[in-house]
Amino acid sequence: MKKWDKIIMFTILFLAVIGALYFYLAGAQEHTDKMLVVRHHGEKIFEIILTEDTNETFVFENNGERNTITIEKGIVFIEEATCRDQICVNHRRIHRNRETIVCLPHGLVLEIFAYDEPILFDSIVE
Amino acid sequence: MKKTSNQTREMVFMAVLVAQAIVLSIVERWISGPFIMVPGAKLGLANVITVTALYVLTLKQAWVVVVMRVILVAVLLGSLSTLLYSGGGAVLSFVVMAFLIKQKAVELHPITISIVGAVMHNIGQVMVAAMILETWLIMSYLPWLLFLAIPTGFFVGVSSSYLKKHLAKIL
Repeated sequence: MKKWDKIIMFTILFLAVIGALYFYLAGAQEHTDKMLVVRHHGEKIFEIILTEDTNETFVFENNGERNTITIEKGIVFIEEATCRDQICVNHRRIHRNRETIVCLPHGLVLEIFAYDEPILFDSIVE
Repeated sequence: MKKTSNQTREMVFMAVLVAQAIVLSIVERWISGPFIMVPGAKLGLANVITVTALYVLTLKQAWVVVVMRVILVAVLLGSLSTLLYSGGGAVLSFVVMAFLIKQKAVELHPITISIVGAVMHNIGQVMVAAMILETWLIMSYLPWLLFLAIPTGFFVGVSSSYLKKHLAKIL
């Protein structure tokens, strides 16, 4: 381990900490309301405002591909899916700002945005 | 490797590396369990072959090994999307590792090279995913993937130095 090995290692750790902190703080912010947006290959297919009383099920179906998205008391998870890796089903439940669940095989993305900044997000995403 | 001029020998050796990479990718599917905290995170075992190839082969030969591996693994185990995701990671990781090995300004430890390779693989894959899925929020996985790249890259670096030692016997 020479000088440059250490510099590179610390840079990686530093970037990881900064990144983790950024997303942690974004999630910790207090917001009046949050919104769940479901996209399929970038195209918005479902959105709903999340409150503590939101209970809802949305089934995504496309050419035999299926993801059952369930919201229980404002907490979002994928209950069941036909994808091969099941990563989205095993993903932890999400409810904080900027948390996501991704189903790579189906090209499906669930994102939670704070309700008071939708214009900013729309301009970035679209 | 570079000292032998026997073309067939070199080709067979490259084929052996590609075959090893495919086997490692299959083995990897059985043991992806430990990283449940970061969805989809993997050990990156096939990177053992990329790192080894970069040290024992010429740049061009190592590139052929990586491209063959990505294509064959996608054909055998995955799909078109596998090809795009792992291709994005593998290409970025190969280019950066090759640069770091060939540059003369600073000498880096093979384990550092391997860790940087793991980091670049993650960055490449997440960038491809962000483009295909049109969401930048997928970047939120990156910090955790970077943390994990250090232990997995370390493991891969150590493994490839063992592999190098044993391959030296047949070169």
